[in-house]
Amino acid sequence: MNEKENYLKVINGEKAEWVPNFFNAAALCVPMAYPDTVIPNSGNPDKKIVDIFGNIRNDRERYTNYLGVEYTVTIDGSMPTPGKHIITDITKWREQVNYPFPDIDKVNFEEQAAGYFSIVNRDEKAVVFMEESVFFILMNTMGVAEALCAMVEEPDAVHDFFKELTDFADKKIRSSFSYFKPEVIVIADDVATSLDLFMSPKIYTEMIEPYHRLLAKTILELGAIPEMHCCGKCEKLVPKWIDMGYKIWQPAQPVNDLVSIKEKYGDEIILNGGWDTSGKGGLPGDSEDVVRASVRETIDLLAPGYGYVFWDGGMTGGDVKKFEWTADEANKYGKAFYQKNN
Amino acid sequence: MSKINEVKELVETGKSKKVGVAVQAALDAGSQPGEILAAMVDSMSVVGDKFSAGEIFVPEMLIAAKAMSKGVDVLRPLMAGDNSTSLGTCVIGTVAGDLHDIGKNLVSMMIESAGFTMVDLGVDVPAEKFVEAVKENDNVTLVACSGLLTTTMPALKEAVQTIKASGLTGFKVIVGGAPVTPEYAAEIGADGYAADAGSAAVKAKELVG
Repeated sequence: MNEKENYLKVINGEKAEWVPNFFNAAALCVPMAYPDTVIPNSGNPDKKIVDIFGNIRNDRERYTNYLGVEYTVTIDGSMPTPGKHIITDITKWREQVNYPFPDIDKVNFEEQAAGYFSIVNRDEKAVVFMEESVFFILMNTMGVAEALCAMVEEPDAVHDFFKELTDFADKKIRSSFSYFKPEVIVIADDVATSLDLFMSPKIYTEMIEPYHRLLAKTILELGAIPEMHCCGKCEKLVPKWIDMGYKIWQPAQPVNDLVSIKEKYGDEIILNGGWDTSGKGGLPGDSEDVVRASVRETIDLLAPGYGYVFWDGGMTGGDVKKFEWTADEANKYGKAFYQKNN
Repeated sequence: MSKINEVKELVETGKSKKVGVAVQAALDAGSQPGEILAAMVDSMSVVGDKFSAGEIFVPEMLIAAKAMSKGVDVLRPLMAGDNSTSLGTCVIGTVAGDLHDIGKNLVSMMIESAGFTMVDLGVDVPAEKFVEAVKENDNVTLVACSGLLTTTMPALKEAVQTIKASGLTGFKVIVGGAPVTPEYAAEIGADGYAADAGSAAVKAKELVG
């Protein structure tokens, strides 16, 4: 049995032979309806970084996406360049983003897939799509504060934007699926802070849930497994996600009561992540011993009873040594865990 | 309901389109600008407490801050030159290496609502820039440093220690952000710590008031 096969056992609710490490078992992929446009001469060519998808970029390189949002690449991931929000009035969103969105029917997914599979061996790694969803995009186009106000003050306009975004995402997933055949499709929407949801559960239900639900339905219809990406303290939404059909949650940060969630929901929601990026092992300068111990503690806490995939969340902050330690310890300790503990 | 209580309720419930008219009505009824401002600050204190208690969420806090801002717009021309209700200037920024501004912006709104004049340095702010801002601005009573990433916690330490080593006085330093703990804040020499935007405003008033 290889890493992919073992990982698939876990996410299908079966007993695994060892605790999978997401980084080893899966390859992330984002099918592109429109390529990002790198801003020439941006960033520091003397400082290269590797992004979450394995691409080599200049630190602080900037690019624009299909909507016209400018992003800055950092070792902690790409984020919208501060102060450059393209939507200032949500009721005028069509005039303020690149609209209409790219024509999906004109995208050559066959060529994209060929390029992707020239690098990724799908016999060894599960293919995992990642698709940003509505609140992420609203935040990235308006800024967080303005996005939250817009949901409360102009709900109709926000729904109009969300519907078009979701129709676009849905069509992209459907059109690209047969070329990539991902085992998992992640819908990414950070709707929480480290303390609580950004918005009340009522507003999530009214404004965001319909779109998450629609995409989960599509993913299930296509035969893949829906996974929800949500950082922060979002455990209040776990029962809703389960109801929608999401089977996995990443990065399942420990600000949530992950042990209780496992006890309550069992295999109804698989936890992918669980490593504390702000705890022992996550802090800059932590020693190898501390980092390795943090990996063991995470596995000890969350692996019993199966239903768990270790992942550092891609949050070792570009610290190559730390990444090597977490990966190595997860592989060694995770490989032996179920033999010793079951 | 008195005119001032109407203003308070409209701020608390985030009715920014109605607050300006209500503030004018309170002025017309004989209330002093400082009295009305103090009432709105009280409202925001209630909002901050509710947020910290988890009774309301970020959108409700934001629209309340917007409503107060609309009220302040009406009062501003009447209060020019009157610093009696001001708690001073707060310099705020996200530390070097960190581009996140979510928490900083929320804290800035709440601290402003508490009665401070804000100087926002933005994101990715080198330690020395905090010191320069203290020198360049009048009546700085508070410096607020934010960091969202564990990888930039050393930068938070550097910012606080650079500010403290500058020899400048007359202000306090407060820190916050997702990975920051009260213990870390104390370790790096900050005067205060806040876990969220609501409690940041409370802490700011406590440190300066």
